[in-house]
Amino acid sequence: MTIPTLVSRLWTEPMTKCLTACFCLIAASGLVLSHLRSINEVGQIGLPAAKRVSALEQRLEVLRQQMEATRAQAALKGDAQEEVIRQTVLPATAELAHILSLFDLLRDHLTQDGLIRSMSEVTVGGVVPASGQDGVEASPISVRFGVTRPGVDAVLLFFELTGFLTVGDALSPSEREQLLILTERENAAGLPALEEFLRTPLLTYARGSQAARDELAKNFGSDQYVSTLERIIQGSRLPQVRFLLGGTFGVALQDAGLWPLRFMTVDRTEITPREDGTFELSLQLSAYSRAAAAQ
Amino acid sequence: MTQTDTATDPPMQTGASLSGALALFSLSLLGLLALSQNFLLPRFTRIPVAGSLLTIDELQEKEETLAVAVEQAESDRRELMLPSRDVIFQDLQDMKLASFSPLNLQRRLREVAAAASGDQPQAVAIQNFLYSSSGSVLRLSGDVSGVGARSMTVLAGFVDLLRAEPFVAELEAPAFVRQESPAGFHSPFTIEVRLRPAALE
Repeated sequence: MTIPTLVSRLWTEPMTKCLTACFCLIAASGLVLSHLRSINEVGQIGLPAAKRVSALEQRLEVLRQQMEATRAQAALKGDAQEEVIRQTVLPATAELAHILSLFDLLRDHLTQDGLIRSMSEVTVGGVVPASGQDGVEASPISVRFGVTRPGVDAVLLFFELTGFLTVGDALSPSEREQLLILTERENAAGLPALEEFLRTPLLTYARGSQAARDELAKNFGSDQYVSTLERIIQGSRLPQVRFLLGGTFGVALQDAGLWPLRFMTVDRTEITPREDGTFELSLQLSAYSRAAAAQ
Repeated sequence: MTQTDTATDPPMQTGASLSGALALFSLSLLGLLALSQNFLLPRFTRIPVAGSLLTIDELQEKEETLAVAVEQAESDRRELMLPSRDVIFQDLQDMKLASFSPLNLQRRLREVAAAASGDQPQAVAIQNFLYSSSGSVLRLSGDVSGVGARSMTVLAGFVDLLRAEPFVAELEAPAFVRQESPAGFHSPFTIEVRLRPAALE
């Protein structure tokens, strides 16, 4: 018996026909289920995903427009800040006279305010390559202060602010993020106003913090925005900046050509109480400058 | 009964023709459904997004790509919020922001000491504070006094509160001792703490 004959014979058998029908019906029911699942997926997965994709596309477009606007604004303002950084914050040489003038001014003004009682000699070591930072050299500095309790905070804050130029620098990344989210929720078109606020020179802010905050707040109508903005600012370093630099000290720094402050880090801090109720604050610092190869 | 007899038997003939019709119907149904599955269904289950029709798989892939692009754009925009500066300066700024602020650190420690002191103000007195940024090590020494015989318990409470702070990675507990002086019981301590990087802003 040949194969075509066998197939023909099988097909003519009623039992074969029944089995074929059963098999086809089972397969068809599987396909029906597959159809139902596909249609269900459109409703359950596809349509919500389409909404999310549309929202993401809009968000991406808004972000691109914001970045273009920010870049255009930055290009118009030029690179004046770069020049300031190269000259005073991160100069090409160690410039010891500049560093020592800073300590003199700090001692004189905080002594007048009753925050510093004494300052030791300032010991400056030889310039060494900064660890972990290419193209940078560091001058190690040791100094001790006799200070009151508020004086401890003032001196530590002063060294923390070294190298900061703008309001944005004095805020932590999370504080900046909070401001960004707050502004976007309130009015995304107001982001340039926030950028302007973050670019406000720190000394300008210290002298007229209310004006800078009002300038930002006037772009946003709600009381909630203003109160949240105030809460973020009050929780940041900015009130202390205003306390330290808002008065004559800030003016003196600027008049002496010492602002913005030279970039320094505090490597070691020791606070020991004295018998007269004041504290001895010993600091080891690093003042940074550009290495010759990086200029 | 022979094969000829079966073929001519009317009930058997009806059964055979019914099974033939059923097989033909189910085959046709299967064929139509297969055609629909491969050609019609993909066409009618596509979803229009921004002028193009996408399948669910394409849509999910697009969503993932867009989410990554949005995240990158947000990160770029965050950086643009601050003026662009040279790389060396920016690296130093990042290093400074990533390290601990001794100002915030000693303030927070004073708050923890006050919380551990409870009703007796300044029962936990931090007398010496030493912070070294290399290795993020903090050494505190001080004394617990003015709480009578509970000085060791108050010191243990201070250590527990300190250990619960998010910036504490490792804490070497002090030797718990109670000493007696003319002013009453007191427990001096020295605690060494290894800090968790950038956990305190």
